[in-house]
Amino acid sequence: MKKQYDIAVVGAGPAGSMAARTAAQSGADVLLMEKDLHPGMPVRCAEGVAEDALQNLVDIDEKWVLQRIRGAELIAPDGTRVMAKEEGGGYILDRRIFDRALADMAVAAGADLQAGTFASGMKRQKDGTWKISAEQPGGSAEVAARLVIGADGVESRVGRWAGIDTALRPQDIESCYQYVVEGIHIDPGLLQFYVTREFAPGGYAWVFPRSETSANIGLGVLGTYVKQVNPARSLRAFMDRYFPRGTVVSQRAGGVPVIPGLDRMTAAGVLLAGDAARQVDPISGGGITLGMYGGRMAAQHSIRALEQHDTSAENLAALRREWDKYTGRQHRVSLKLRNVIDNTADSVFNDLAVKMLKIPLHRRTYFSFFRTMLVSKPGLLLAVARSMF
Amino acid sequence: MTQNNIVIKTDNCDLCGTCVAVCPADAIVLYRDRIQVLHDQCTGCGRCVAVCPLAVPVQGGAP
Repeated sequence: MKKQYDIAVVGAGPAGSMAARTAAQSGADVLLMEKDLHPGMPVRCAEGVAEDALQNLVDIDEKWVLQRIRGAELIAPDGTRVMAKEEGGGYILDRRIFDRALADMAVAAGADLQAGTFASGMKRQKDGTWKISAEQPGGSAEVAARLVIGADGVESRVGRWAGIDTALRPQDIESCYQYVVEGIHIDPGLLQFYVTREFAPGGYAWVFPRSETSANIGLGVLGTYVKQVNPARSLRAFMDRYFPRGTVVSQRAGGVPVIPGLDRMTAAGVLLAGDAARQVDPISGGGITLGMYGGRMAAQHSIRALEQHDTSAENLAALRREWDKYTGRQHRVSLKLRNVIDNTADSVFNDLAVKMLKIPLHRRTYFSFFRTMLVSKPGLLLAVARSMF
Repeated sequence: MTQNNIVIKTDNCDLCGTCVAVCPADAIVLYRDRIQVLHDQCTGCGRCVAVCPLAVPVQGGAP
C-alpha cells in the first residue's frame, strides 16, 4: 500500500470493485480496501440478479453462475401458488466467485487491492484530502486520498465520518436470515417468493435455487416487527412448514436497506455507493446490479471532480441528481407501493393469487400483479393514489 | 453508563452489521472478526436491539 492515492475505495463488494475498476480505467491512481481477507466472503446475499441489468454492466462469465432462472412463483399466505412471467431471465450467482472476479477486474485495470485492510476512521486535511486510518494484519497505517468512495456496505461508517446521516430507522431495514439448504427437490429455474405475514411480516420469504436439490432459503422481517417475529427463529419454523426434509448446510444473518437511496450520497471529498448509499430496490431488496451501477456512477463523478480540480460537496452533489434520474424516482414510488402491500391483509393476497391464476401465464407480469391487486381492491387504489401525492 | 446500557453477546453474533446500520450515534464498530459497542457514545436508544436478526444486543445488561 502506498501513502497516497487519487481515490480510495472502501469495500471490495460489487459496488466498490466496480467503482475501483471504472476509476482505474480512466487513469486514476486507485486504492481498493477490503476488510475481509478474501473479497466475496462471507456471502451475505440471496445471489439473484436479472440478466439484462448485469449484461449492461459486465461481460457475464458462466463461471459466476450457479443457476439460470426463467421465471418466478408467488406463494400466497394460504399456499396458493402462482407462476409469474419474468421480464427476461436471471441468474443465481456464486458471490464468492463473482465478487472475486469483479475485484480482479479492478486490479487488472490498475487498482491496488488491499484485502484484510480495515478502515477504522478518517480525517479531512487542510489541503482538502482525506487521511484514512487503516488496520492490517501485522500493523496499522495511514493513507491519504483526494477522494474517498465509501462502498462499505450496510454497516457503512465512511459516510458518518464525512458528516452524512446514514442511520436507518427500524422501518427502513429488513432484518434477514438465510440458509443454504440441500436435500430438497425444486424446479431449479424458478424463484419462489412467499408472501407471508406469519413468517416474514413487512418482508417476504425466498427460495432461490442453486440446483435441483439446493437453494438459498431465507426471509426478511421489517425492523419494526423483529421483536414479535425473530428472523432466525422464524426461518426455522418456515423450513419445518415447507422444507422439513432439507438439510441446512450453512446460515447467515443480514440487513437489507429498503429506502430509495440516501437523501445525501456525497460530502466534500466523499461519495457513497451500493448498500452504503442505500442503493437497493425497496420492494425486492435486490442490490447487486444497483450497487454496481452506483459504484460506476460514483467513479465517474470522482473522475469528473478530479479533472475539474473541485472535490467540494457542491460539485459532488450532482451524483444524487443523476441517481434520481436513473432510478431514485422509481424507487420512491416502489417504496410507497411496498407500504401499501405491508398494510394489506393476508386474505387480499389469497384472493389475488386466485385472480392471477385466471390470467394467461404469458400475461402474468409484475405489473399485472399490481393491476389485479388494485382492480380487485378499489380501496388499495385510493391508498396508492394518496401515497403518490 | 446507564441502565439502558447495550451489551452485545458476541459469541452469538454473525457480524452482519444490521445494528451498525441503525445506530444513530455511530456507537457500534464492526471489525472483521468482532463487534464492539462504544459505551461513551451509546445513548441506549435500543434501535440495535429492535432490529438484530439474532437478538444479540441486550438492553440493560451489565457492562
